[in-house]
Parts: sequence; C-alpha cells; structure tokens
Amino acid sequence: MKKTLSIILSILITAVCCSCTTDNNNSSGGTVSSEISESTENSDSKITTITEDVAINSAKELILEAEYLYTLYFRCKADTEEYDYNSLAPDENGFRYAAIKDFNSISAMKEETEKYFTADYCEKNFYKIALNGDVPFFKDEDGVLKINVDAQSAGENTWNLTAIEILSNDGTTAKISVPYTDIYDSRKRAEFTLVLCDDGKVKINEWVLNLAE
Amino acid sequence: MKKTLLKAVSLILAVSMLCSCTTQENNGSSDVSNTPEASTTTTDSKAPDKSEPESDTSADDTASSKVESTTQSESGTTVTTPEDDSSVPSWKETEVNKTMYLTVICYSRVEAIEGSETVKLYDINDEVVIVATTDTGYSKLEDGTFIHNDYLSDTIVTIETTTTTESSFDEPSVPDSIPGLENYDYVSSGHLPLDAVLFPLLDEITDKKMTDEEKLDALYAYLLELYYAERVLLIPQSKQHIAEQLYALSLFEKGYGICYDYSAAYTFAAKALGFEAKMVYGLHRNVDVGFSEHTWVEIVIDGETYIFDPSVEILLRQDGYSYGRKRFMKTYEEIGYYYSF
Repeated sequence: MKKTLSIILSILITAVCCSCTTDNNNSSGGTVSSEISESTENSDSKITTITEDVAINSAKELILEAEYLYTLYFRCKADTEEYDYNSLAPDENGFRYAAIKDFNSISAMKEETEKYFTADYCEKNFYKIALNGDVPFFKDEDGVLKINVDAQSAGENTWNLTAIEILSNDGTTAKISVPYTDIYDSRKRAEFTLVLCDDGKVKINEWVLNLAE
Repeated sequence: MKKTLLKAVSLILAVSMLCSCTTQENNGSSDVSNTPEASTTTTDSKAPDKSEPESDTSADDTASSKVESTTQSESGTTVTTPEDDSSVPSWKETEVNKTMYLTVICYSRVEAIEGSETVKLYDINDEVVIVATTDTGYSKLEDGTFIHNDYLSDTIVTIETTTTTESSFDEPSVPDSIPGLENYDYVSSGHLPLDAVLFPLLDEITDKKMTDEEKLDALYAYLLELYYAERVLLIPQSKQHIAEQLYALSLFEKGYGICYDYSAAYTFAAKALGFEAKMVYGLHRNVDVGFSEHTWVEIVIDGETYIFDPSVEILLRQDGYSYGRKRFMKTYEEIGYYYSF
C-alpha cells in the first residue's frame, strides 16, 4: 500500500493555484498580460509573455537555483559554520542545530526562495515540511539561522539543461520537461510548470520529479 | 435587589458570550486548514499555529494515565473533563470515523488543549484514524490522544515537488519487550521494533528448507520490489547508536528509501537468519563518471566475502541495465571496480 502511494506520489502533480496564474489573479489586483508578444530574456526586465526562448532561458536559471533550494528544504542540507557537531547541545527534542552560512534568518531564506518559486508553491511544499511541526529543519535563534544537523539524507541531481523540452506554452504558463541524473547517474526526467507572475518574473509553480526518461 | 440580579445576569451573559467567541475562533481555524482544495493533489496550506506545539517534553515521554470523566449525549457529542485538574477546561467531542494524515512532524497530546503533555511523535504522512473531533480544534485518535487539526489532512502531503522524500522518525519510546517475539528463532537486531517487523517477514519469505543462497535471494527479491526514493530521516542524538536499525525500519515501514535503508535492511535480515553480515560505507562508481557516497552489504560465506547491493540493483533495473542479479552475491574480484573506500 505504502509502495503504491509512494509511486503515485511520484507522478502526481502539485497544485497550480498561485496568485500569479492567469486564472485567479484578477482578484489579487494583478493581471498577466498575454496580448503583447514582445518579450525579453533579461531577468531584470519585466517579461510580458513566456515565449519559447523565455521558457528555455528562465528554466536554465531557475532549475539550478531549484536544485539548491531542494537540497536546503527537502534534504535538510546547507553549508554550516565550522562546528564540531558533537559539541552542540541537543534541544528539548534531542536534535542539534548549527548556524548556516547562506542566510541569517528564516525570512531572508524565504525571500530568496520566492524569487524562484511562487509563494503558493513555497507555502505548500517547502515551508510546510521544513519550517512547521514539532521538529523543524530550521530555527531562527538570536539573529542566526540554524539547521537540524541530525537530519540524514542522500541525493543530488544533475540537470541536463541542454535538453529542455517545452511540452506546452500559452504565453503565461509553460510546461517543460528536463532530463537529469540522480546521485548514481540513474536517468530520470522532471516536469516543471513555469508561470508568469505579476512582477513580470517567471517562477516555478509546479515540479514533478522521478519521471521515467 | 432586582438591579443587583440584573447586573449578575448581564455579567454571566457577557462571560458566556466571550467564551463562545473563543471557541468559535478555534473551530474556524481548524475548518479552514482542513478543507482540501478541489482538484489539487496537495493538502491544505494553512500553516499550523506556531504557538501551539511548543513543548519541553523529551522524545522519550510516554502517555500518562490521566483520568477523564466523559458524558455522551444522544447526538454523539461527548463532553470530556480531566478529573484530576479542575483548572483545565473541558472540551466537547463529536464522534467521527475517518483516516487522516499528518502534515508535519508533531506530537500527539494527552489532552485536547494547547500545551498538553506530549505522547508520541508522528511523522509526515503517518496515517491515523480519527475517532472524534473536539471544539478546541483537536482530533482524537484511536489511542485516546489528540492531535491539532492544523496538523492533519485528508490527503497525503505531496512532499518535495511530489517526489517521495519524507522525514521520518523513530518511535519516541522503545518498549523493553514485545509480546510474541520470543516465539521466533531469529537473531535480534538489537532494536525490538525492527525485530517486530522483520521476524514475521522472514517467516513469510523464507523457510528452513531453503539453502543459504535461496534465503539470501528471497530477501534480495523482496527488497527489489520496494521503491528507491530520497527521504530525510531525523534521528535524535540519543538514538544515533541505533541509526542503522532505524534506517532498516524506515524502509520496511515506508516501502521506499535510499541506499542506507536498503543496506541496513538487508544486513539485519541476513543477520537475523544467522549470516555474518555487515553494512559497508564507501563510494560507488557512477555509470558515467566519478564516485558517489554509498553503502552496501558484505556477507562472509565459507570464508569468502560477497557483495550484496540491492539499492544499486534497483536503479540498474530502472534504467534497463539489469533484470537479473548483477549485484547479488558477487565477490570484489567480480564487481570491485564499482566500489571504493
């Protein structure tokens, strides 16, 4: 049963309901312009339409960052300040936390995350798993962001960004397929849904891994 | 006199209304968080109340046997009041019967109130049967403990972009004995909860008529049917000495895992059958280039050391490289090229 659920989970698609999507963003005050076909690949400029080039180039930028954030939130791994973990005192639940280098607070980490993923996606996936519950992966303590060093995981994906395939694109939402290899070079494929947000940035709003190549 | 009476009644009414409002807020909160979104595969996104789960109890806490007085109405609503502490507010329970899933790592609690004593640590996606809901925003489990509604969902959490990585936990308390285990003739892993899962499984997939190789093959075949997927296992410092047992238990309970879990599971299963097995930590040569951290199993049979590597075998099969036994009972002379220390 668990196995079946696991398999089902690997092919299910996460919800697409962020405020950035065209379906429901009218009420949030912002709309996605799909009438102007002119677009730009410069990430600092406001993109008006996801063209094929925008989708490919955005994907190249987003996926590398996505891998980093995936490791942070789901593998519970980050560069930490030099620590002898054995010298760290466990908290009330028996887990030890060490200061990480990249961020000094949860809010800073969230701000960075939401540059690449929609806030809705982050809330439902990253934050729910890593920040909530009785044993969070991260803790804000005295202006220092700490990570649970008693979390054990293994994994690393290598993305083939030269083989990105666009599966669909309506100008505001593009679905792409990207091959990758896992830690043992086992070949797999992922599907990303990229959406054009109110601020003219393309972000990941859906992400399915472990698909057969 | 009438004036005094009127004032008293007004005061009582005001207090009643205030209490009623507070209860309503609790209900409102849990309703929102437990509403699954239509046509999605994710669970609700309501963040649990961060102030709720604060607890200073350790993972080894066990449930106290607190006495409760319970009265049941005809409508199926129960009012429960802990008898030994009159300062603790009572709660109303409404009978339900449904299966739900944990959305975060959290404790169940002795009572349906904030800050109550913790009982058992649950993992994300653990399945629980809810027998009642309370007007304080909690759900009552079959064992009589409570979990806040914000931490429960009707559907499994689609973790890490819908792959199957999960966090996992050992039970907070380990029993001194498990009834029935004494009937098995296997070598203990040193961790009874693992033995309780492993021994019946060994009975099921092996028998005494099998040769040693057939037994090992049966174990191997069983693991190949499980699923390779990333997971995060949170093992508190106090349980690091049984980390390998917890890897194995995680695989048997969840049905998926990484090389650590497969190697540990195979090691303890082989040991249980009397083999001289050990989990080996090293590097594995990748298909294309380089090495990755890896664990596998070594078993010594008739003085010869053999490699058993079910997790890589699964990946080789997935990629179409193998449908046989490429990493089963091989010597380092045969496949040592792939392994390094």
